[in-house]
Amino acid sequence: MSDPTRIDTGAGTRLDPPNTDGKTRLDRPERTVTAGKISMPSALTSAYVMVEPIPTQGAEADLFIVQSIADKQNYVLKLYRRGLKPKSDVIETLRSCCREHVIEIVDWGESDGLWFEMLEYGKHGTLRDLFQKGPIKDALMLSIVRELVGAIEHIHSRKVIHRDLKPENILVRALKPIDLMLADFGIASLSDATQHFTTKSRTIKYGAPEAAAGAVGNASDYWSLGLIVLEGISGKHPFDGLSDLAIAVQLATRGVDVAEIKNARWRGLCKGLLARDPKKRWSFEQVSKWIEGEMPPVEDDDPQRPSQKPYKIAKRECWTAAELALEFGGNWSEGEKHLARNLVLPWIRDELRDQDAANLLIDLAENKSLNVEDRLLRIVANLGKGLPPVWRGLSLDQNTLISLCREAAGGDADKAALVETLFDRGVLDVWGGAGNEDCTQWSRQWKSSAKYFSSRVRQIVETSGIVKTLPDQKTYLPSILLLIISPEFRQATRTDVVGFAEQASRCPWLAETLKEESFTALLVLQLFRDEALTLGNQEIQSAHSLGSALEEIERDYPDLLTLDSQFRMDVQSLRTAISENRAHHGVSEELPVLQRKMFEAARSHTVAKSFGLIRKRLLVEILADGIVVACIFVGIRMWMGNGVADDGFGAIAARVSSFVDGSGAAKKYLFVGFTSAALVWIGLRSSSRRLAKKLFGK
Amino acid sequence: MKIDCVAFTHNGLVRSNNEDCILCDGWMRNRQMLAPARFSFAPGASGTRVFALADGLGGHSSGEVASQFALSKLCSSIADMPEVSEVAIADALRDAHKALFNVSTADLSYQGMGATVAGVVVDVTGAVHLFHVGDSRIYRREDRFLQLLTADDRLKAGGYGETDPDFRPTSSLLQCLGGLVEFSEIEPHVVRFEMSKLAETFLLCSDGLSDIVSLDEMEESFSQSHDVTIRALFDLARAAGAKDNVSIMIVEVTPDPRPQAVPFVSPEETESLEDPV
Repeated sequence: MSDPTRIDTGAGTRLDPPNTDGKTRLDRPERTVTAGKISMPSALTSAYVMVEPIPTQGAEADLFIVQSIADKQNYVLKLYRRGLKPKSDVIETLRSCCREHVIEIVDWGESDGLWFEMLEYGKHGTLRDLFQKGPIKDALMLSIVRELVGAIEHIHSRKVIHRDLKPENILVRALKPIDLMLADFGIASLSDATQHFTTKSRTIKYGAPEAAAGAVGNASDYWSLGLIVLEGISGKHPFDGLSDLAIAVQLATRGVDVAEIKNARWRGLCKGLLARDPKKRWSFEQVSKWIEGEMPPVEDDDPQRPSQKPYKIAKRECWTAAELALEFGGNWSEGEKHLARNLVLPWIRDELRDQDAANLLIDLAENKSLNVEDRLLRIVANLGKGLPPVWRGLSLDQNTLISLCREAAGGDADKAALVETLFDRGVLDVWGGAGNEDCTQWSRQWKSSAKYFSSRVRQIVETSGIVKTLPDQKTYLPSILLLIISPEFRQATRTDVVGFAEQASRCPWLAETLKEESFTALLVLQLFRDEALTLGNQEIQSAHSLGSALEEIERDYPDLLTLDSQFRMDVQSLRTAISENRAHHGVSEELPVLQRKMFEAARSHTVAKSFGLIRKRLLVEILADGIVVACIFVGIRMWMGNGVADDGFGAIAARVSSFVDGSGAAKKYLFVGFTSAALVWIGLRSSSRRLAKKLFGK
Repeated sequence: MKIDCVAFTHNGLVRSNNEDCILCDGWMRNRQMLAPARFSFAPGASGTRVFALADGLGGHSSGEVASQFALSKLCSSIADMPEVSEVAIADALRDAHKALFNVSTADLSYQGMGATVAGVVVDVTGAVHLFHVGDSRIYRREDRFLQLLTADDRLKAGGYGETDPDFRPTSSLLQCLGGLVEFSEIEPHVVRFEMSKLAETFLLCSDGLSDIVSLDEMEESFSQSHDVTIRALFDLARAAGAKDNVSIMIVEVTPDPRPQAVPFVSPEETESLEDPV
């Protein structure tokens, strides 16, 4: 697993590129360099000037050479990438360490959201630069060993295990006499126990055999020292040109051959340091004696007594149990056959005489609950401690598992079945039991997440009433394992679910599941994607129809809104409810109810208000009718012209006649007046009829 | 305890007589057969049952005599045992050895005659014991494989692990019942086989089969019917020349279904809804 706090940048901490001399950099302090878009943290700009970046391949931090304005000294600025933070406990411990042995951390902290460390600048480069000039002379190498063993002992006394010692990480402070300091504690850890289980990556070329199984202790640093010494005096690294797997196999089976070293004393030192068993490995005590000129006893390292006769499998000869495990791992079906036929035990018992291994085989054979393959797995895992985990010839490293699970999740039925067997047979558990910490962790998480997944699905089905059965575990186990081992998949799942949850219903189960803030919960939601989206669509649909119903009412009865302030407020609050319904739970169920209520409200409002309106209109109508009737009567009397003044109409007619007498134009005006009055009357009548029809017609 | 046994013995393609002998719970045969004989013992029938085969050694026809003698002796002594145990069976084998030696010294024509034996004993309690002396073998079928349960009393030849395709075992026998000119004690191999709840299938064969047919081929010949399996195995031996007598026996022991214990119902686990991822 990649570790975000790891800052091992390979050659990154090589402060002094071998092909350039230090002068050129010191000559141009005025040049302010910003590497790419990264500039100096603002907290440092007052005290330091950027000199130049140091090329790195690391993804965790950028390195720069900076110059202090106060003392014109060069320093190295290690600027962590955004979101990454160094281990504060390790840094504080290192800062308390003696400057003689450990690179000085002048300053560290956070600025502009980025963590930084200000480190001492080693102007003589690293031990790698020394090694590149060819084999180291004995006298110099002796000084190097003295320096390094002192430094290792010092950090161990402060409970720090470096875990990644290699020539690139050892800085040269001075050449004559040689003065070395340890640097790049990127994966260092504080050892609160004597052994530390870890899954952090390390430089496999210098890593101890036990580190492959995840168990790192103080002795691991001494193994690295052994390889540094071996490389220094022989001028080449024994693992040059080997793949990581080949190195792992060699470490697990044979260890490092020191026979090439001519000088017996140096050979003894390397043999002592490169003992595969950490308990037998030399540490400070023996190396100190050795430096004094003594020769502490080198214990016979190889606990795996090679057999007199080889065990043959797949045309290969195995001489040790680890080699056998390796061959079994690579020839799985052959291994099953050999095991089932009981061919292995006689060799282990009679040739290898490894009683523990023989007992393991016998115990497994007596365990009737295990089938042949289960037994093979346990034998390979236990005899091949430190080998990369395998199952049916498939390497169980993170990358292989990721691609296997991806294919399985993508619909490859065979791969899905394979992943299911991994789960059902507890394959990862077995490797975990054999000391592989990654496997233990993955297996534990896998099991509990799978349990969580199924119970969560059941819960949603029970509470939501959605008809759905728990899918076959084949379909979700690969995805769950992917969540555990692949950060990319975690991210992709999150993006996917967040994407569709936007459009999905805000139903209680969805909201609650999202609240869990677990990645497995996101997988559960993916399972209910269709249901959530359908519900969401329904909700949008009902909100939409409610909205348009409102609009219709507003359009049809504009006066309702203007007339009645209470009704206006009701409509307004309904509008808000509709626009915000996606933030409310369960609006989808309530929407039809709301809609009906609103219609009823609208209707009752309309009816009540309309009565008043109609009353007003009727008055107008009666008034208009009266005027019209009066005008008609007046007109008739005028036409009759008899000037009878015994009633009101006659008097009016006489007055009007006298007023307009003899004028034809006045008669026209009168006629127009009458006609308009009649039209107004008809208009009012029809409008009130229309209103009445609207209100009561439906 | 239900026991099915299918047994077959044959002269082979070269020999005119059959020095092998097979024994199924009192039924014994050494003349070559046309078809495998089938026996089935239903659960409930009492008595200790012995299923064994013997491969006789010796000049003239003394091999035939030796294998028959050894099996009949073993059959009676084991069947009469008040209590079957590893020690008791080993003693029975030593007695048979001594008796066979005595017979061989009584008659010059029987001099040096002996027999290898391999057998399965199922007693009244259902306990299964396996025994062998010499190079007759007992395999146990597991999954699709044959697991060799016996270690031949032969000089160890060849390496460990897979055998070379052209490897032929030597026949330097280290011990058998009888077969001696001067008496010395034998070390019989007897082991109690721990049965599980499942049926176990044992394949017993003389070196006439195991020396010439590879394990791969033997494993592939297995089928549902033991009868068919034995025919297939014999066909393989015939195809490989069958220079020696061939005896094959399959014994399948099915334990009585134990009275079903009331399964312990664990209180429903409180489902933890914690997710570590």
